Amino acid sequence: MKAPATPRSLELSEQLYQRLLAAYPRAHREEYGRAMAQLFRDQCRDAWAAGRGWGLAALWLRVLPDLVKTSCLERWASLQPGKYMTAKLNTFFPPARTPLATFCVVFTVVFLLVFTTAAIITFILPESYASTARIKVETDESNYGYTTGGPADHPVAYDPYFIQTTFEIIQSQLVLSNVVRTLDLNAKWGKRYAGGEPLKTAESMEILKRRLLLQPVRNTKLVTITVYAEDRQEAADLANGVAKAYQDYRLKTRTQMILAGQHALAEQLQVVDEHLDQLQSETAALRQQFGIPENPEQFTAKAQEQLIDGQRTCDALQTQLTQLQGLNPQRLREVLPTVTGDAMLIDLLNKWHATQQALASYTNDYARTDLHITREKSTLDELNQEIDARVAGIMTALDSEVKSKRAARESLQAAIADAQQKSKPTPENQNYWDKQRELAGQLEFRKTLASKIEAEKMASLTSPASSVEIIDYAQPGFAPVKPNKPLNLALGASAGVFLGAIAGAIAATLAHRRLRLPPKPAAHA
Amino acid sequence: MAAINTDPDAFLPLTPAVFHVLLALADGERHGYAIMQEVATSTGGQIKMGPGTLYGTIKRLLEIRLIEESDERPDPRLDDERRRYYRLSGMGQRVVRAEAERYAAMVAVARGKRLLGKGITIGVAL
Repeated sequence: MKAPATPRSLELSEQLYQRLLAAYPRAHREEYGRAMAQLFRDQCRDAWAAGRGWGLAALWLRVLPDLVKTSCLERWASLQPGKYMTAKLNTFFPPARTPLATFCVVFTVVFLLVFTTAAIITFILPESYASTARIKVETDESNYGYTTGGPADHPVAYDPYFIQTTFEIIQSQLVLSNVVRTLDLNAKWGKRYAGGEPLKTAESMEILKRRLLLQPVRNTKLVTITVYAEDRQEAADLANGVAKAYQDYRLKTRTQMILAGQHALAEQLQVVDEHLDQLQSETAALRQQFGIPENPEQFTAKAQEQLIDGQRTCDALQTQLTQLQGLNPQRLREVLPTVTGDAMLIDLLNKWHATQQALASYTNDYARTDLHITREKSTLDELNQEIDARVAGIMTALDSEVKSKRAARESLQAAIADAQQKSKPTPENQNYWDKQRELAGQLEFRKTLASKIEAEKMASLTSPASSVEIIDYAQPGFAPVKPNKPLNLALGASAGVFLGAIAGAIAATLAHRRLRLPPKPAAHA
Repeated sequence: MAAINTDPDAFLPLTPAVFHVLLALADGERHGYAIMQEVATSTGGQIKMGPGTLYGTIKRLLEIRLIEESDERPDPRLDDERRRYYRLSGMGQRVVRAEAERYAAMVAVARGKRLLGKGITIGVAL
């Protein structure tokens, strides 16, 4: 079976450690160097399996101090007991070197050691890309601030914890679990971090949360969502996924709130209707009790109109009657058919005229005593009597009609006065007027409530707008944000110079003292 | 070479690194990586010995003959035959037992002062 390829950073680490073993005394190195290198190789593979680049970096941070400390101890222990300090120092620094040369050598060694270590750690650390999405967040204003007393038009209060609450919601299971499911992070990250075994959603959420950075944009309603990832496209996908998941969450919440509001409004309308029915029953009973017209103002206005019409008719009839009464009987007989249009009178008059013509004809042809003439005269007398009686009857009827109209007018005037009197609030009927006012208020409130329900129904037919708007979608970054290689190398160089200078100064001082010490005979074997 | 002390108490108290290495070898011979893993396991991952510390300790223990290198090599099919195996010497066994008893006595004192519960026991495998 072919062995799996060793990552480049592992090979580099092993090679560097083998070089660093030179810090130990030759004897120790020859005896244990290979075993130490092998142990370090095993540790490297364990660290790589546990945390890849980060695990390797952590191992180096543990091994380097161990190497410095134990190499110094081994150097010290390698000195033969009984040697003078000069001889011991000679194992570290050859006696031929001057303090300046010692300083240069130690400075160079320490500088290279520190700088090389910083460079290696910088280059074996995994690269991290950042992508940022920007969203605009608004508070969800409640449109359902009604009470049974009437509409409440309260402005939405400022919430000082709104942004902090938003951040916590974005990092909550409600939002991040949707991101994990949408982007299939359990499977993707399982392949990468768990040897192909799918991660649990809680584990993926924890990883995502560690990579998430949320920041408000000062003096705006904008929030930046930054995600760090080893892959530039993945960072952008994650940032956009989080923004979209939060937008969907807010939309869902808003929809639920609208539906709940509509339900509450419908319930409230039902309560108002029941209250209105009760109020109307009570008001009707009180109105009947106090004899108050249903609508006094309308009743009075209508009665006034009827009164005016009745007065006009009565005056016209009275004038007509007076004029008719002033006429002589013959003239009255001529005028009355035109004025009243009485069919019976007209018929009688027609008969009278016919009889008159017949009489005139007979008078020319026959003697005055002729039977024809006598009969026509008799008919004419009968018609005259009937006509006079009919005229008298019509005049009596007209007079009665005038009197009737006058009486009706007086009755209407009395009814108006009575209605006006009863429509005035008094201590006795105060209860009715209170109920009437309450009824009017409730009717107005019901009208407003009904129009609000209709408006909400119309609004619900279209999709409600989300209170979260994605202003900028995240784009894949061009360069990794971590590690900052120039900065790390600069810091490594600075630390190398600083530590090298200190170590060099100490070494130079020791070398200077050693040069001044007089040689002593070897007293201790 | 200086004479080797035969009194176990003369080696006490042991440094933590020495005690952990001797404890790791108490139940059989092991190579360096196995010793390091045993120490990490027995301390719950709190102590992770670096190569320098481990082989420095092994070197000193070999010098004072508390441990010795095993001549036997494992089956090459089971392990890397180039690995060097170590085991406790007779003196090493007495020293680690003496150190464990010393710890046990200290625990008894702490328990007497009600610093520890009665349920806590000392788990030293010798």
